[in-house]
Amino acid sequence: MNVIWSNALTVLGLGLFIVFVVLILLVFLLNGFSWFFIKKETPQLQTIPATTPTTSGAITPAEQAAVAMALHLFYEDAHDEESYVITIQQEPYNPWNSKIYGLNNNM
Amino acid sequence: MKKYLFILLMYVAAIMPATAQNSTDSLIQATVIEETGIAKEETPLKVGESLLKFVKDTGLAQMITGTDDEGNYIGYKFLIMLVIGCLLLYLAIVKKFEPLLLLPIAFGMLLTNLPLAGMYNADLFAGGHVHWGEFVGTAGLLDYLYLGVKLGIYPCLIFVGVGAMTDFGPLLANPKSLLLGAAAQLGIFATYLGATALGFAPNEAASIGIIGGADGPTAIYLTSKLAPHLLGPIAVAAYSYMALVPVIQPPIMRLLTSKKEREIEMKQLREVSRTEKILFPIIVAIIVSLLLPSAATLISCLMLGNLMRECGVVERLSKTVQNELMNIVTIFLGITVGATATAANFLNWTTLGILFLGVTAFCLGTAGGVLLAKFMNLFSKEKINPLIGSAGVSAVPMAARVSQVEGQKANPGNFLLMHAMGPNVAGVIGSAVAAGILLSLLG
Repeated sequence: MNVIWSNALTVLGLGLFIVFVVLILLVFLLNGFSWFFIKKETPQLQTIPATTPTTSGAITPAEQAAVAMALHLFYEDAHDEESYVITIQQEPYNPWNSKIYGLNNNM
Repeated sequence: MKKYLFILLMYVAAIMPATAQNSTDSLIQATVIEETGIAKEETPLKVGESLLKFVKDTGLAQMITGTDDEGNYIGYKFLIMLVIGCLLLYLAIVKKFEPLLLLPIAFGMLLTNLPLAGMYNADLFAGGHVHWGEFVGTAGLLDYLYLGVKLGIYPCLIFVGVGAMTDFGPLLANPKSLLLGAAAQLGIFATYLGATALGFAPNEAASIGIIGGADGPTAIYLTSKLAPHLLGPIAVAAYSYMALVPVIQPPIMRLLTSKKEREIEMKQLREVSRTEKILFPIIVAIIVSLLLPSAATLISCLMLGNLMRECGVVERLSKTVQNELMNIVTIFLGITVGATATAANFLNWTTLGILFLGVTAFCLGTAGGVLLAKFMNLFSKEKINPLIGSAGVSAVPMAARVSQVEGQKANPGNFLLMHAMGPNVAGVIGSAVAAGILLSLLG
């Protein structure tokens, strides 16, 4: 089959060009978005204390990071390995564990 | 003598009613044939012949002795396809390679390659058209389900679900990510050129190139429009390579970046307001559809799903498209796309070429994103970690995870996931735009 290289190169060049044009247009649009919204929200942010959540009921980014880290460690099993051995030692007698002074003794 | 005469009389008495009954039956049968035209004259059955006919009509016999129209033996091809189907099922179930799609695709492959089962008839869709006249009577279950692919319904419904599951927040917080998503489309267009050089027709080359977009629904949508006969191999290649993103991408990322570049830490993204998230899908749907009407279907479906997610007033619809609708369409899409992988369509050198070009497209897309990120670092004050460029090849969220993992290998304190989600979702938009361009130029 004869390849018409000029057509193939046109599709390559034009295709990449249009993809970039459309997405660059969106970049400008989104930059306009961020300029408008950041400007609009700046006065509000100044009055809010740093520790207060930005929206009602939401948690702060620092808390989100802490939760994410905890979940990561939990799912990756990256916590200290427990031995599953109960290590409470039987203490010798003292008045605190005495049956005589217990609440329920029915002497 | 009297004895024999008595026996003769008894025999005549016995067959007379039977003969009368036969003539009545024949009369009724003749009337039925005349009236309906569907009755068949019954012939006496012979056990041996019947058994032989039954054996010949089994799929097993077809697999052993089956020939094509020219008399060439093709039975072994069914067997090979069944083995490939089982291999894909193994990869889906045991290795968990994109199981949600690979499993129905593999099962569809099995069903379509069972000789004489007649669930999918490629002839009904020959020449890129639906032969509606032959549908009634000949179409199997999968033929009816395949109409959703052929008419471009399933990929669009999947896109509604994808949109509802996607958070465009990282992209809104860092709009430059869109450029990385655009650069990763290099794989699509460069592979188009490569496929053309290998002798594929332009429409076929475009369908093969779109594998580099790493976006299953887009690949299926474009291929069903441009080269429906290649749908099976292209879908299998696209989803297989998407599952192999963690294997394919890291060597390219490491090859193109220095350790110092991989260690770059990026500053935390700004918080995006709800209003921005609501306005984004509406504006993008309008602008992209106006600029590129051929991409309107995919982009508007994606943005519709996202608007449902972000507006917060149609929670039920959002949950439905994310779960029930998405799952139902995934089953139909997977099984019918698998069904197009018939022995005749799949077992040829074209498929091998597609598999080779598909992986090339993936590699070039990855390289395109990484190289543009490096290029942007030459001019930008705030440095970008080039590893996030590779996420521009869609494959949400797998490609972003790969960036995160590679970033942490270089610098354990580096958290690139949210930064990589920007190019990742930009890649979805970019590949839909690229599909629209190819459809517009070659459709």
